[in-house]
Amino acid sequence: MFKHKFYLILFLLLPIIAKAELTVEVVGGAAQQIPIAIVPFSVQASPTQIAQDNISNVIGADLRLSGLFRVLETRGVTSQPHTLSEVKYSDWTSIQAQALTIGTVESLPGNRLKISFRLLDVLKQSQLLAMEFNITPAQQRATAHRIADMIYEKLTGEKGVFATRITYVNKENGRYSLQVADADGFNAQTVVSSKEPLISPSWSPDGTKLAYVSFEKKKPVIFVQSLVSGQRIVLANFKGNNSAPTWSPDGTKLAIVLTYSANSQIYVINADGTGLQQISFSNGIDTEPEWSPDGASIYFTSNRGGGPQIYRMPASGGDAKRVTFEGAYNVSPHLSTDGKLMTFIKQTPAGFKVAVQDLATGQVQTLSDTSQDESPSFAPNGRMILYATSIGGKGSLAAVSVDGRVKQRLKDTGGDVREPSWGSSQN
Amino acid sequence: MIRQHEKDVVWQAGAFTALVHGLLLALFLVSFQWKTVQPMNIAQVELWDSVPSPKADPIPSPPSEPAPEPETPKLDIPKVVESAKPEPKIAPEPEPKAEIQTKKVPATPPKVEKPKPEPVKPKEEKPKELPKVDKAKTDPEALKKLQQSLLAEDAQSQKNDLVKPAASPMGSKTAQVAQAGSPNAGELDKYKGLISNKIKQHVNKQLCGADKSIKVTFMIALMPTGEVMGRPKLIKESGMSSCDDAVERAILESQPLPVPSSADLFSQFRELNLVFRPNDTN
Amino acid sequence: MKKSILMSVLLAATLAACSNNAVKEKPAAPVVDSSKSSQVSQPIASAKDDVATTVPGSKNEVVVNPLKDPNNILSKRSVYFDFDKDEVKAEFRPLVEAHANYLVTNPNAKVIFQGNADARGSREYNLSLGQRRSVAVKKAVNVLGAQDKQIETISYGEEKAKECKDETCYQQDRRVDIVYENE
Repeated sequence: MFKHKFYLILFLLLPIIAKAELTVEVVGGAAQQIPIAIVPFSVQASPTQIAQDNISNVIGADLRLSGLFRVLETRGVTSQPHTLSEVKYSDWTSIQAQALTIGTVESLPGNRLKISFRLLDVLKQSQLLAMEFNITPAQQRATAHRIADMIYEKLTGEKGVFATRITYVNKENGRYSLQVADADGFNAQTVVSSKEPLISPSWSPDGTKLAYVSFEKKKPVIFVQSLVSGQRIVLANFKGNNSAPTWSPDGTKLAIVLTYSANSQIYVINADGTGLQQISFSNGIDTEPEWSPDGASIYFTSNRGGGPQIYRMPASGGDAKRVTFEGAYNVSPHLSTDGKLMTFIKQTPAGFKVAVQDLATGQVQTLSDTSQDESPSFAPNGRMILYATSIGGKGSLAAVSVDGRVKQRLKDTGGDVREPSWGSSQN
Repeated sequence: MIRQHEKDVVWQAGAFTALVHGLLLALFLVSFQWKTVQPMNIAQVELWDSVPSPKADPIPSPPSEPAPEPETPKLDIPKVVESAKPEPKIAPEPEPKAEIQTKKVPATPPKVEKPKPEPVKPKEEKPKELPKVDKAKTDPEALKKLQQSLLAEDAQSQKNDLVKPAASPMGSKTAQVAQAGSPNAGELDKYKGLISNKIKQHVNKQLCGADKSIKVTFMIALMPTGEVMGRPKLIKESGMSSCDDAVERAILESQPLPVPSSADLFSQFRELNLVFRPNDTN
Repeated sequence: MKKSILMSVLLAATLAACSNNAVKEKPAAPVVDSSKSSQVSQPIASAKDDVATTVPGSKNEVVVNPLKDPNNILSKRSVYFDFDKDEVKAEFRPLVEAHANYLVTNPNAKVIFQGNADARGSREYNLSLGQRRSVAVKKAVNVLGAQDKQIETISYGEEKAKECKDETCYQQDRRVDIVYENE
């Protein structure tokens, strides 16, 4: 009697016990982009208030620029939802979207606008984000960038860079102007303009100042200018050349290059122009200093070994260790904010190209498909590299993702563009 | 001490108890039978794509086999595929050819219309199950065999549980070793490989950083159609929520997963531990 | 923004004003050229320069300025370099010597050596390379007696370089220009 009951009880419990739990291992993956659909936001506001570019286009362009998203074409989809209740998930799974962004633009009193958006998970059919913004019409692009940042952060776990700014020099009609623009190249504003060359702009860590080199005194002189007040000081005008300014991570000092004692050598100076101190001592050219994010080292270009290579020394000066070993010409080191990667310009048989080196392993990858590259710098999230190149005989800005998969050209400024630098996240 | 009144009804109570137990038993048997009958059209497409089985009798007797018998739990793949043709039950039903070419399209509408096919299924199966239940009832020997094989599997799976399947490849290895002796080992491995390969294609490892040791584990409950029941359950986090999300999306995107059509084999896939190492190389 | 433009304009104006003043002081001092391979065609005047031997009636410039005389090596003002190199090549020795001698014999003369590089590579490195080149020329004339106080070395790096496609074009940009004050 007991035996049978035992088996019967076991049968009752079978659903609980009988889990034949196989384990399947999935090793590796395919590096893919997240397919996202962004439906053009509905607009209920007067035409004068609305920006030329629908907010959805700006968001899409930003996400595409990051290289991590594949922005799907939504025009063919029958439903164009703007509110949650209008969403038919099957429409979006059928175009293989994994995420969906919808939104509205409405008028508010006082000539203001309300922007609402939602980010939805198409596979789980759930909402990931919902936000509203109360803005002036002039803030539409900035809001679109913030939305792109939020979408990017939610889905990738990384900080977005679409609300950051870049700086570059634009040469047009014989004039040079140093400009600051949105990361997508829009909304450019001139910081300083001159008939003589301007080179090497460098962002202060808090994003409020630019150091740059101007030839307006008929020789290279370093200025530091506040972007807030427009005021500037001469940081260094010593005998000979004054160039290659770069800020320390804490913003209190700059490393600069002087030819004061004949060869280009690296010095450190306080941000107010006091306390000059030489830290490199070689018989060759030492230039392009760049602080490591932890402030402990300075990377720089030197031809002390023959051709130009990249070296690293303690931030206070001292023994330099060579960092680049491939090829005969490696210049322009710039580090990612986590200090793990270094981008630089490498001479290859096909020309001068943007490359990236893993500082831990030494592994080098050439990234760009252009061949007269200069001035590479990382986006603050380390995912993209901005640089200048020559396209059709004219200087242009381009961006390449850190794995080399996504390559973009930035908005044409109309002039000959060079010397870009990506600002930090606080911009 | 049983009182007089209760003494009288003891036997009635006993009979009633036996009846209820019997009904429950019947229900369990019924639930096991479900799997063997499924005409798994979509899942079969995956099977075809993977291995041109040497056992392939290309076109044995397709239309005459609408319902595979429980006596032949191990179904030949091609046979079942052929049986897919005359049975367009699940809502949107393109031809097998179309299914092969446009894998995704048929996959998605069934997902959305889940509520509809599900109530349809049991109704469809029940008329077929009754003959089987009768058979089972009249065949205590077969029943006992079933019991024992199931208990044996329980013991094994409990062993695997003790070895912590979530944490180590050892778990799956011992499972493999334990089943190596059985003729199903090859089949099991094959389906595990199919599932792994399909999901892997959808894993966006870009969102998992660069650390090779990153690991995510999900548990999923599978339906015979290869679809995930409910949501994947996160067992072990990677430490990067974007990575966990990407892996979960990969699982969902890979539906329907290729699962065996036989009850025996499928029962082992009803709940799966999926261990991901997105940045690792084999 | 307006401030900086104003500043730049003022600076430019000041500089222009300076150079304008300088032009008026242009000397027409005769030169003693002791170089062996020189092509001097004007009369050899006194070596002592401190005696201002300007031609009376400076408007009638009978004496051709050797620095501008196309028959005089001194009118050649560019030294060319190889890629990523700052050595003064042998073929430019005569030119360098000529200018060295000019400086020695004209201690009031001031010269600027402007270094340049072709457009390839980084701007900062090229700025330094241009500087190395101008310093190399300075050292070459130092050896021949020219004093540092007469010489300024600057670099434009690649800022004046042309957009090139072939080596002949790039070659033109790798140079030091010799520019005398008040020119």
